[in-house]
Amino acid sequence: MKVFTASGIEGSTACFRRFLKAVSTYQADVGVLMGDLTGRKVVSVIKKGPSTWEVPLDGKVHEVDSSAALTELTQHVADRGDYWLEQTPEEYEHLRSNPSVVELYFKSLVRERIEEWLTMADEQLSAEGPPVFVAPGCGDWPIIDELLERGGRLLPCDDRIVEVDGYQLVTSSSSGPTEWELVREMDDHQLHQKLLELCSGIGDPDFAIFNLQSDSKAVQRIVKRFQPVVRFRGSMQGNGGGVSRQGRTLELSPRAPMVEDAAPTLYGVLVQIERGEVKDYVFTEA
Amino acid sequence: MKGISLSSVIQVINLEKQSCDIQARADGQSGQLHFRDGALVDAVADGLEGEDAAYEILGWRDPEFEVSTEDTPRDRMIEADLTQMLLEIARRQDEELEESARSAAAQDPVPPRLEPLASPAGDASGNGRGTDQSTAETIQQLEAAFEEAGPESEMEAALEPIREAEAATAASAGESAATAASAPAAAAPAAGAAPSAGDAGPSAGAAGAASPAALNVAGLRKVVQIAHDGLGDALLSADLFSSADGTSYVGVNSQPAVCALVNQVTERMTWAFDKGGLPPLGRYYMAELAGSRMLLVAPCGGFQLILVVDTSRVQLGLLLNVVLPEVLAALEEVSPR
Repeated sequence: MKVFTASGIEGSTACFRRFLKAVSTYQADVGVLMGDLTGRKVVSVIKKGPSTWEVPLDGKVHEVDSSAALTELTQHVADRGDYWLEQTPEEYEHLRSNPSVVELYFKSLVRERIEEWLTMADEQLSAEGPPVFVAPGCGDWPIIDELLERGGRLLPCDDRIVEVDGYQLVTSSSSGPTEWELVREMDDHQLHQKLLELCSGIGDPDFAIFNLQSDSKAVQRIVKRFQPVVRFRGSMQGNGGGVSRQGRTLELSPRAPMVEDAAPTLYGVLVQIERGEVKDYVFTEA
Repeated sequence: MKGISLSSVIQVINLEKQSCDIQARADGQSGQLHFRDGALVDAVADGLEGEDAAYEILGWRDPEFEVSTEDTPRDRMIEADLTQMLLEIARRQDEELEESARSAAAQDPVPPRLEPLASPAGDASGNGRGTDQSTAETIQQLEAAFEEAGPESEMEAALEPIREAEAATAASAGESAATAASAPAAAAPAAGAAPSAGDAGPSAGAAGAASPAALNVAGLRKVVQIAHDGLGDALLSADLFSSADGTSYVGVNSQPAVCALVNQVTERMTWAFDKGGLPPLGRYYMAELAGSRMLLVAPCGGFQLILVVDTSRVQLGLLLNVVLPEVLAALEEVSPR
């Protein structure tokens, strides 16, 4: 069985599009997209005239003088994982002094992006094709969970075990304590208990694949105890993907997608597993 | 504010149990929605209050809106569940869309289900779509031929009148232009197929790339015949229509409204690919439909072929790798790119 997984696309529509395509291009038997799925900022598009806008972006104010140019710019914003909101100068000033409203709009945009992706997946993934799973990351707001759980061609897999070709995919977006105070954090004891309960459904660990991104002590204890054939960790910053072993478990971390680049790149890892053994793996970029 | 929808904002308010007010405006109307702990408790809009006002505002398309998080206490005037209300709004909007699609289809200059073809020599008007008395007679004759022929299948039934028309065209080659001109007139609405006999019919602009006068009768028949032979019962319907006006010239279980609407889709897609800097549309595009159906559209020259296929009755490999290439080759012979 070939498993293709990528993670941390952080709102990038370009990376999401590439992920959908990569599953079939790499002829994977199953695709898994792990979080974080959501971006980190909203770009203000300030309407200055009938066909003119100012867009503060990357420390510069971009002057936009046509609808076509604005479409191109907002597409670029979406491709790199940010969100955009067109405002009048008055609305812009109003929002600057109302952070709670900004957060409300931000979350609404986050949900709209996820809905857009789900539609894209429904359109592009075939019913006859390999199953493709998705789970949020520990930094993703829970407001997207309900959307992901709706199903469709992109199948939810968070906090559960799903069976694919005789293998069990065990996934959880929960995290132990971090310095970033992520929304899905819990203390190590709680996390350990939660994962123990989740893993109680595992049959043969040789045929278990873990999608546990957090590197907390609780996760390490669980991996050490159950020894799945492979564990996918969260994306790693820097060059190349990360590989390590914990007992018989091969732990793989694809490189974090470069969503800030002009041409966002999706990094992933394709793993071939046969009879409970990792036969091969390759880090990919698309 | 643009780039965000009111319904998305409302859903987040609901999910996060927020308390706030929304001031909304659309088409000269204005209204307010009031939320407490995520629940919609009151609404006001142009003389309406409570649930009626809420339905009014939530039904506006692309309203402008502002959110205020200042907590202004209000009595609960709306008991309905917000999610249910949003679903109800979505249902109403879907109904409106369907209704407008039906209206659009009804107003389209719908061609007859079966389209006999023009005699090149006889198309005096140039548009091949006269509506005189002889037209109606010809239609009746064709329909009678359709009834009497006792064809083995729907496909055969569809092709029979074309064969008749072709034969009639050949036979009448020596007749006067005025008489022969009635043949293309059969393209006017046939009995039971057109929504309104009073429709003006396609404009003279129909005399475009797909002018009936330019048609290759045998070639058209062959295109649909190949599709039918290759797909058998899996072929649910087929139409060969003119891109100039969206009217169908040959069809099996013909769906004239679909032709007109798909013509617009192809046009928009071509425009979008061009604007988006993408390569132009290739030989065909497909849409997976619910219920194991597939819509396949092949634009070629001045024509487009629509096939609706039951994918549970044919292997996609056979469709895409065997039948479709043959159909496309035949289509390109009739209507070169």
